[in-house]
Amino acid sequence: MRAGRREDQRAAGVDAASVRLKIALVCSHGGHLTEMLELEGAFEGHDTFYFCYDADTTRRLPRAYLVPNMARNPLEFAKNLVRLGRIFRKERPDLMVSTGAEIALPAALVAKLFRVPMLYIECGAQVAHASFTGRIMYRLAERFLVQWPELLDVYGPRAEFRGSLIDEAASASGQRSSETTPVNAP
Amino acid sequence: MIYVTVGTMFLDFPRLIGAMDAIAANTGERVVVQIGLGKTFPEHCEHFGFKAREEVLTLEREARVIVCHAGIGSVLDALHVRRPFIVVPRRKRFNEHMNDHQMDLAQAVERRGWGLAVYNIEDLPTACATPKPFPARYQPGKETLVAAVRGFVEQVAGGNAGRRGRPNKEGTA
Repeated sequence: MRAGRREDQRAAGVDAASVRLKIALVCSHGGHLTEMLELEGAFEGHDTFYFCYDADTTRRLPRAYLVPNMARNPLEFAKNLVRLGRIFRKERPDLMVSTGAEIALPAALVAKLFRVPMLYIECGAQVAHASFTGRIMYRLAERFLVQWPELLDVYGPRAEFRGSLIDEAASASGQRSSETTPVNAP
Repeated sequence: MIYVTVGTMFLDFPRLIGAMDAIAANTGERVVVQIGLGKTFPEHCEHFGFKAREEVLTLEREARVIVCHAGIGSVLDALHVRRPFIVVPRRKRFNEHMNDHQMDLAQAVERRGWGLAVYNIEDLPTACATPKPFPARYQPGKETLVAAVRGFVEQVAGGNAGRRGRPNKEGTA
């Protein structure tokens, strides 16, 4: 059940640098969306689509699948799994990127099923405490980035601090309290 | 002009809107409030539910000071326009949020010296009258983060998205 657009392009002889990916951008409608929009430059040259809650802010997005914001309703969670299954089958994303919040969880389960790699960027609002979504995504995502060096030790060794939309560039020398080498070394 | 924003949260924030309404009435300064989904309507302030981000940023650039809840979107916008700002964290005990996580960001804003944090709403008039100038040195690590994300996208394009330190199924990690 591999999504596989990129395999098609490789088979057709497209070299890695010019492979055009389909990227699923998953976030809720408030600050998490603001963060995703700030990261848009990272996805240039690739195709993207959003999976978000239906809200004033997300209706303004050009390519988005919008679902009702009923995060705590188990039936709605199950419905989202089915919706996401359909979306992933249709869109065949090569990569999923999420800035949270809990909307990432059903998407992550479906991404695992379709063997789509995931990048999770913890919300800049999480400074000193792990979020519920973050704790689960820490286990599921291939890469897990935090936006405050203070948060590295809270999550564990797989968490990385590689710049931030909010914290100052000067903090990019942020280190784990237990380490002597900068974690952001290239 | 003071620009006030409560974000996209579904819970109301009457504590902040009431305090800003009183400030508008007492000082006569123009106050523009984004009230979002809230049901508290100020009497002495201009207000609206939502606007496109560019319009919000235009208002924020014109503002003498920005007052916002301690949500990431609102704080990012305030930092983006580089205007003096005050964060008022939403609290669980006033039913303004489901938990107290906004305290973290409010304290971080204060600790980094980017703006003021108001925890006791009675302190808001003084904070609005004498906000902290926006620090000229502030420079977010955005480019570094965008480059890191871009790097991962390129890894996936190259067929190498396995976990760090572990060869992926094609053995190229």
